This record gives sequence, C-alpha cells and structure tokens, in this order.
Amino acid sequence: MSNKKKQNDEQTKDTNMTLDDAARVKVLSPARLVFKRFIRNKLAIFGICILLLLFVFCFVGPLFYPYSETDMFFGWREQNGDYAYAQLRTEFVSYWNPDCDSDFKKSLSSVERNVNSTIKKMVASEDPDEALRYRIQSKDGVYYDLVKLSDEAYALTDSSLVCVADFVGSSKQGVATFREGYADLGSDFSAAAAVAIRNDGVFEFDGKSYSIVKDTKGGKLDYDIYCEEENTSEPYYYFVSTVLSPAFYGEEAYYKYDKDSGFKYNAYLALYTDVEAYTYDGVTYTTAFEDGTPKIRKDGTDYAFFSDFVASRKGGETALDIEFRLKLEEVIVDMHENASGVGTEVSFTMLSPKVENGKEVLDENGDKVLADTEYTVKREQNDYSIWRIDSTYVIRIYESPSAEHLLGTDANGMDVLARVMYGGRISLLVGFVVVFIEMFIGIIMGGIAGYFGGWVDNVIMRMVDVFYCIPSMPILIITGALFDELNMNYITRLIWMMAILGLLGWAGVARLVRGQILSLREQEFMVAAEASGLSTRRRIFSHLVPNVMPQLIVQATMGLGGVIITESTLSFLGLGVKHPLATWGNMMNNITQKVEYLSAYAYIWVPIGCLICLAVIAFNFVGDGLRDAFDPKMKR
Amino acid sequence: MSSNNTKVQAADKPIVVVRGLKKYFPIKSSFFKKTIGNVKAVDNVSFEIMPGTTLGVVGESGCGKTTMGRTMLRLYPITSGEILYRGLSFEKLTLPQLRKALPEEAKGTVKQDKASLVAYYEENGIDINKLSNAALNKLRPDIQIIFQDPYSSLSPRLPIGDIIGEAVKEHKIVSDKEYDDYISEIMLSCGLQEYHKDRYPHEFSGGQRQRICIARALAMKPKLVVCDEPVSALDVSIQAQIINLLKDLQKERGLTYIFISHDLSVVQHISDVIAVMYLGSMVELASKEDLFASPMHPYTQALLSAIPVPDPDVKMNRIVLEGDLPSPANPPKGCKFHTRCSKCTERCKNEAPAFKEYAPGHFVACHLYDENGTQDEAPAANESSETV
Repeated sequence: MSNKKKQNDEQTKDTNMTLDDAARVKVLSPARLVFKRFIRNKLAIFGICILLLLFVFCFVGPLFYPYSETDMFFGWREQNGDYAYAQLRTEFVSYWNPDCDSDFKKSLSSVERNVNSTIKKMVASEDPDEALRYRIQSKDGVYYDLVKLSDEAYALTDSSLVCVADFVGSSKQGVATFREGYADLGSDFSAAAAVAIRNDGVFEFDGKSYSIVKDTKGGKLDYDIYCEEENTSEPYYYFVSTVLSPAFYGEEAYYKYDKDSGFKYNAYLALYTDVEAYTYDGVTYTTAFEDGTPKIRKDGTDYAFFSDFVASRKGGETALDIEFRLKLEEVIVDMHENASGVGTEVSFTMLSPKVENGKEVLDENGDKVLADTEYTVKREQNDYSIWRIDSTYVIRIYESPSAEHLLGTDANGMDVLARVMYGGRISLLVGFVVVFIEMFIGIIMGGIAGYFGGWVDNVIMRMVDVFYCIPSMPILIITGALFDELNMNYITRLIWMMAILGLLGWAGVARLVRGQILSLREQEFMVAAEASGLSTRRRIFSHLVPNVMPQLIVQATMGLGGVIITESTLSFLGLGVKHPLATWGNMMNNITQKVEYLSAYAYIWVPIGCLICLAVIAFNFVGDGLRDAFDPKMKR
Repeated sequence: MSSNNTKVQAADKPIVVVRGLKKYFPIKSSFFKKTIGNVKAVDNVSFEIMPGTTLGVVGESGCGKTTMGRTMLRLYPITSGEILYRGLSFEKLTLPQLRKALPEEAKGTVKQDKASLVAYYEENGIDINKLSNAALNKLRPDIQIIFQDPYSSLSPRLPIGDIIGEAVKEHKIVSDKEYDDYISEIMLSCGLQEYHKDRYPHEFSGGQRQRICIARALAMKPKLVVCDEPVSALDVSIQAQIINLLKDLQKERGLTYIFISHDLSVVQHISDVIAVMYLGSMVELASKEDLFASPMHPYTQALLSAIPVPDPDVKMNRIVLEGDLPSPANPPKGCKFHTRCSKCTERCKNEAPAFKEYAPGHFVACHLYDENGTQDEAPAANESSETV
C-alpha cells in the first residue's frame, strides 16, 4: 500500500509540473459520471438500499419462508363453546310401530299431526270415557281410537266402532250389503237402515245400535253402517305418542338406539302396557319404574331411563355422559321450579373427562383423566343451552405474533408475514407494469405531438385533455364493480386493473414529453442536427430523448410511488386485487371490520403501512437522485 | 485537402449562385390562422461566390443576414428564388433524386443517366429547392453552418465526441476503423484536445464551444461553410483566435465561407468579398478592398464611418443615421433606405433602385449612381473612409 502511495505521489509531482488539463481532471465515461453523481447523493443511496431490501424481502424472502401466500392455519382453541342443549318437552312425539308400512303411515299422517291437539281435548274432556279413549276419523273415513296409556303416553289403536255393512241405492229401495266376517241380517235390516237414513241416521236392530254415515267417496252415493263391536282381541297399536325421551347408560347404547324409533316404540309400549319383559332386536329387556322414573334394563342392569327432559350434545352426534345428564336435569328442574326467567344463567361444576386439542385426555392406563369443569346453563324460553370452556377446532384468525407466525395471522388464518412478502411482489409488479404502460403510451403520444406539431399535436393534446378530465377514482370504482359483476378470475382482473391504471395515467407523461420536445425542437442544436443531415430517428433518439430523460425518470419514479398508493387504495376498498392474491392494500382490509381492530391488530397494519411508506419514499428518493445525476449542470 | 483536386477545374466557376432569393415569414391572424402579411426577411437577393473565397455579409441587427445564411442551407423553406450549388457530392444521389432536381428547360436536352446528370449539375449547379428532403440530407455534409450561439447549438446531453462524430457516422464520411482517429484529428486541428471527447458541452468555455461547433461543421468535409456570426458571442481575444483558426482551415482545406457578422473589422479581416445588407436586401457587394476604399451606397458609407479608430488623435467623421430600421413586414416604398438616407431624392421615395454593377465586381443598389445620378459623389465618400 505504502509503495503504491509513493508511486502516486511521484506521479502527481511529475504531472504537477506540466499542469496538463488531462492530468488534472480524470475523465469518466458518461454512464460512470451519472453513477458517480448518483452515489454521492446520500438520500438516493438510502432509497436504493431500501428498495433493494424490499426487493430481496418480496422476491427472495418467500423462497426461504416456509409458508405460502394461501396457506390457512387451523388449530384447537380453548374457548367458551356450546356444549349441549336441553329442553323440558311438552309436545308429544309419535313413534310408529315398526310393522306399519309407509302407505299406511301416510294415510294416517293427518291423525299423527293432530295428536297433540287431540290429547289436549282428551285432557280437557269432562266425559271420563272420552278422557281415556278418544275417537278420531282418518281421512279415509275409518275410525281410530287414541288410548291413554298414562299421563306421558298415548297410543293409537283400532276403534271399537266398525263398519259392518254398506248401504247401496236410494233410501227407499236400497239394500244393505254386509262386509266380510259379519252375518247378513236380511231385508228387515235394510228397511230399518233405510228408515234411519231418512231420519237421524241412528237405529237399533236386534238389540244393537247402529249409526249410518254418508259416504260420497268415489262420486257414488253410499252409506256406511257402523256398529259398536266389542273388541275382544289384544289391541293393535299403530303408534305411541309420548313426551318422553330416552337417556342411555353408556355410549354404545346411545349410538345404537338414539335414532331408532322402533326401539322407542317397543320400550314405551312395554312400559305403559305393563309388560315386564319384551324382546327387541333379538335382545330381551325388562321394564321397571324406579321412583316413578320409567326404566328399561338389560340383563338386570340399567339400560336406559325415560323422562320428559331432552338433552343432547351440540350437533347431536355424540353421547351425553349419563351423570352429566342427571346433574343437568336436576339443575334445570330446579330452575324450572324456581320459575327462573328467560336469560337466567346458572353455573355448576362437576368432574368431567379432560379435553385437550379436541381429544379426551387419557392417562397411562388408557383411562380418562377427569377434571373439574364449569358448566353454565342459560334459559332461552323453554330451551336451555349449556356451554363450557371447550377445545374447538378453528381457523386461527387474528393470532398474535409468535415464533411460528412472526407477524401473527390475519382474518383468514393466513400467515401475515408470508402475505406481506407475496403482497409486496404484486404491489411492486403493479407499480412497474403500470408505469411502463404509462411511459410507453405517454412517450410515443407526447413525442409525436411535440415533434410533428400542427394538427397532430392538436388532436393528441385534445385527447390528453379528455384523459385529464376523466375522474379516475369513479372510473376505477365502476370498473371494479364491473369486474365483480363479470365474476372475473383474479389474475385476469389484475391484468385489467393494470391496463386501466396505465391508460388513465399516460396523459401526464404525454404532456410532459410534448412540452419538453416542443421547447427542445426550437433549440439551436436541433437546427444544427438538421443541418448535419441527421435522420429524423437519430434526431429524436440521440438529441431529444436524452434531453427529456431526467424529467421522464423523475416522472416514472414518482409515478411508481403514486401507482403503488393507488393500487393499495383500490385493493383496500376491495376494488383492486382480490383474495387470494395478497397485496399490501387488500391486507389492510383485514382490520376494517371494527374500530377496535385498529388497536387490537396493530401487528397486521403497522408493518404493511410502513412498507408502503418506505416503498413510496424510496422511489421518490431514487427519482430525485437520478434526476440530479442525469443533469450535467448539477454541481453536487 | 481531399477536395482540392476536383476543385481545380471548377475554380473558375462560382460554387454557389443565388438568384432572386426570397424568404418571407407569414404573419398570421391569431384566431383564424389566416395570413395577413409577410415579414420580408430576405427580399430578392442575388450573388455568387467563387470557391475558396469568403463572402462577408454585414448589416445591422434584423436585416436578414442570419435568415439568408440559414435559407442558403434550406433550414428555412425557400419562398422563391434559386440557390444553385456546384461541386457537391452529386454522385451520392440516386437517379430519381437527380432527375427530380432537373430544371424544366433542361429536361429535353440532358441525357437521363447518372453520369450526364452529374455532369450537368457540375456545369450548371443544382437548385437545392428542388431536392427532396432525403436527397438534401445526402448533400448536407457539403454545406455546413456554424451557429452564432455556441451555448444553445450544442446538445447538453451528448459528449463532445458524439456531437462532432454522429453526423460523420451517419454519412459515413470515414470508415468505422478510422473514425476515432479522424475525430481526434479534427478536434486537434480545431484546437481541442483528444481527451475532451467524453466531456459535455457545459464543461467548456465559450471559445472552446465555438471550436466544437467549428469542428462539428468541418468534420463533414464541407465545401461551403456558412459562418453565422461565429464570434459575436465571444470576447475579442478569442474572436481573433477563432477567426485565425477559420482562416487557417480555409487555407488548409480550400473551404468557401459565407461569413455573417455585424462587425465590420472582423469581416474586413476574413473576407474576400463583402456584401452589405439592409432590410432584407443587398445594397452593396464588392471586393474587400473596393468596398473599404470606395463605399458607394450611403448606408455602407455610414457603416464604415462608424468603425472606431484606436487612435485618439484621429477625428472621426461619422455619418449618423437617424431613426430605426423600418419594419421588414412593411418596408418603405421605393428605396428601402430612403427613410434614413441623407441623400434621399424624390426618386428614391418612389422607385426601388436596381442592384447593378457600377464598377467591375462592385454592385450597388442606389439611384445616386444611375445614369442621371452623379458619379462625383463617390470620391467624396471615399475621403471619409480613407481616414480609417
């Protein structure tokens, strides 16, 4: 090093003597001169550094970052969740005899539908017979009886009033035809029936009373003759209607029979017709009443009990622990008796299997670990909802920064940092493409207008005026809405948006270029170029263009910042780049739902805001630096 | 140097003949763009220049000197008149371009092949007004111009090497191999250093810039150079340098100059023939010696009397002109100078004088020397100028 210095000193000594211009001033090539001037500008270097960092961050960063733009993150979260629903049932629900075929069920559907009102009538009835057995006529005109089994259960069975004969023909000459299984009582019966038809429709014959019902079915006048028959055989039940619902001991039974109405029919029928043992599905069950609670047992152990209290897990897919159910019933009956109003909340604590990450925690023996869990019951009219702190499988939205997600997650459960990187790509890309389009159109149009002048200039400048007075925001908003309407693919949409932004922005560039060229064209060096016989192309590209360059570069770099801001604004308003593509603008959208989000999720918008700011400032610094560097008159 | 051989046989013929050159700038009304008048910047000018000589053009500001210079290169469209050039590189033009410039009257007589057309133009000159733009561009290297303002006539964003060399490249004046050496040589001969090539115009002083302009013109190996007040923007010491440079280059390369200036002493120094212009017209044209010895036109006499003498003892006998230069848009009737002329007669006010040769090679446009005017007045003017 020192040797070199000495050599340098000697050299300068030698040349100092001659004071040659060549020795005094080191001549740099034009490009290096511009570069030298540029790197002397501290702000420009600062800007360049920021831009380089931004580019590395946005274009190289994602290569080393484990998450992609659209990765969604799910996870278990311990949160207050609905655990179960409960209800004190007052409505009766029908359970069909499994032997009934569907056509038959259909014909009785109106009967089934009206079961609740019929039961109300029975309860209100003063006739003790009617309170026990109520006659219903189906749509077909056939009579059925709803029989009271107990307060909680009713069943539908055949009526004792049966049609024994049809009376065909007019009331004078008609003949009663007996149905199968009934003995023909002869013409006397027909005559008695005919008399009854003419009168009140009731007559007695041979010690029995008959009633006649007009039947117009099939368009043919016809009378059905009914007679009260003593039904001696075992009654056949079509369905059992009850307010009860079963609670099973053990999950297995729950999963097997909770949805099985046949099982329930058999159980209810057995319980309320005092059958001690019955068989269903190949298994023998016994019935019992324990403290008034109806139960069925299997092999001597409790299998299920029945009550008018219905409780089920949220969604109804999983079984409710029997102990929990009992406890819950106790609490709710308590609430019911205390006449707690709507909205009352009661909490209780009980040992329950501990749940973590959606699974019950097992100890080393494979047994469930129990833990104190607090349940809250809330009354909503006749329903009760029960919730507890539960682990729920959720999209991890708005998660705070952690080692896993350095900037947390956003409203869609996507990694904010990853999206900031990918969003930067789009934002910068949009900036460059739009400015390129603006410059391309602007330089060509402005150049033509300025160089050729005359009517060409006039036409182009009027076009520029028109483009200047187009309000760009409404246009962009309208086109954004149009894109929504057309259901455009998000990539197509991005391309269109860039094209429209470019088309709206070229006027400024054209005006600048035209003004510059107009003034340059009259300069003497352009006359000199003409006098040298230079071609038009060369005159434009080696004389005009370099002289417009600094202004263009400033315009372009400042434009870059502006376009990034416009794009961010549009995307923020939901009119620009759409999800799943990330941009800095549409990521800001994450925090707009509520005012509180602004302070709560600062880790989302602060970094993005800083990046937008930095990018725009950096582009402006670089633009200024380049302008100064290109301007040979700048002495800095 | 290279053109010397070809010039020998053409030396007896003028390199350029100007006949009745007119350049009017239309005045347009502001709204309908209708022409309501003309600024007659150059009005009916005729002269000839022999190769290897310098024509000095003098006149006060606004008299149309610069316009005439530029019109000679067709930098402005010519309103009317002929500018016939001889000895240009006609062989560069294509046959259709050569044919197009042929005057009507010669069409029957000249053979339509390239050789005979070139020969015809060598003999009679080519009218640059008849050339297409492309054809003119091919001939432009032969007719160059040096501008008045060395600051605005150089593109601020091109390095000097490119400014001088771009047209050389465009017209392939030299081969690519020789290009660098050629530019260096031109720069050296114009008093610039080789290392100036990569610098930008703003890094130079006015004198250096004017040299750059000269180098740019000379790099094209021109036959004729229009020097449009090349020194008026410079201080006196540099003026001398530039003038001497131009003279040296003329000697070296056999150049022909049209030297436009408002400075008589500069013109006197460089010119062989001097033309005096007033309000767009030429009022007097004579050899340098003749003009300074015996100026004939009252305007010339007034101009010469205004040359300062660097001797306090000499009493100057100045002829002071009254009034301003009239508007070239509305020049006075008759002799354009009559409004300011001390010897104005009734005839001057009504009748425009013809530009006539009163002595060999001495053209004047003045009624004073017409057949009924008196020749005696000339010696009287002589005396005043001889004191110079």
